[in-house]
Amino acid sequence: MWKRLREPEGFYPPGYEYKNERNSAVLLLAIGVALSFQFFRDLYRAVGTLNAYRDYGMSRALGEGTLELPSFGRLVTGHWGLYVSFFLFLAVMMLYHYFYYYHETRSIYLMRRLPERGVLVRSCVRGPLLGMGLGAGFLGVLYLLYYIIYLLAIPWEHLS
Amino acid sequence: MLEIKGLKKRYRGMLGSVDAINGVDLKIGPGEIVGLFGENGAGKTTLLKSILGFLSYEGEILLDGEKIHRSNISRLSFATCEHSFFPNLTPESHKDFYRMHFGTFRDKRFEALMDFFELPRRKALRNYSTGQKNQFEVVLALCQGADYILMDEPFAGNDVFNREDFYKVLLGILEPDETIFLSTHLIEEVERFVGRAVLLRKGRIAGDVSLLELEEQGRTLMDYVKEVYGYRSDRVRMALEELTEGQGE
Repeated sequence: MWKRLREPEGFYPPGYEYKNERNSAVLLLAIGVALSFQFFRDLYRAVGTLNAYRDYGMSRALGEGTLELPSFGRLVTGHWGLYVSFFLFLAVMMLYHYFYYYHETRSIYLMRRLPERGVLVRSCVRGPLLGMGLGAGFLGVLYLLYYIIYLLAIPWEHLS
Repeated sequence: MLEIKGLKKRYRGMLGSVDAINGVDLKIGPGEIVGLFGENGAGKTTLLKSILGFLSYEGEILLDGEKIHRSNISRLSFATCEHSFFPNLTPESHKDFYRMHFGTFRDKRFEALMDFFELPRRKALRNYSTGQKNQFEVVLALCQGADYILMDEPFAGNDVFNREDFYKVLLGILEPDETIFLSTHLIEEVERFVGRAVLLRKGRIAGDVSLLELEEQGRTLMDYVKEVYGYRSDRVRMALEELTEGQGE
């Protein structure tokens, strides 16, 4: 399996130069992940404002809204558009792979003559589906990690 | 036996519909070399694509009494002037691909034909010349191991020596039960090569004759084609006379 992932020709139409597609998908995901690092900034700010007191002459009082803790969801929103673009890009690539068989020659005629069922469809969807799966898995692990950090960073009494 | 019964194909467009094939009945037996002739738009390509199942159609196409589907499609191969190979792959990669998908692939024939045409094996096909691409397209069709080899204008763009060589090789390598169904405009050129000629006109069979029959009658294939199409040999002379009439005035 690992060898096939490193040499993924079998996941794409024969002769298809998949590297540009793979690099574009990775770039979209990477920009999304880079933007997701805002989470640390927002979490730091949120934790910093918790229990912040204000001085009123001789007395101190809790600042307004300082006990309002932003939810995890609020801390990780704002860059999902890029993830959506990543998945949409790969979905569009499935169609592009089909039309690749009309590019320069009509290799679609050969693909449609193959005795084995589903070879044409598999060659169009396998690569993008694998990319989607890997992307979703990676994002799942990343956001699980963020959630653990969130739980560890916020004092337990603020967690409801 | 490849059997076509009552084949009809209608193309529908914005401006109406056109009957590309209009009731074709045809039988092609094993070992025959059949030429398919007709003007542009006569329905030659549509007929071949219907046989291969690339187009929907009315009627019936049977291969040894069975409809053509996945279980018997590998008994048909196809060479087209549009080319059906993968442009970024080399011949060696094509060989691997064909071997993987067609258990009947003829390795020996492939090697022999590649050598004969002196086709580079490790060069991507997109970098081949048009003549070489045509040759490779036909090489693949001949080496798939199919019983019925369908060809649609496979030599468009090849020079005459190239084509001549090819006919000779083809006659030399074909096994008795291999069938060729060849669509071409090169009537005089393939006359010595085909055993039977089928003429299409406006989507119908306009003529179907064996070359032996013509030979016995002392006629050439071109004579037959002209007769079937009602070709008027004085047409050019009359047109020239009409055009030049009054020029001296």
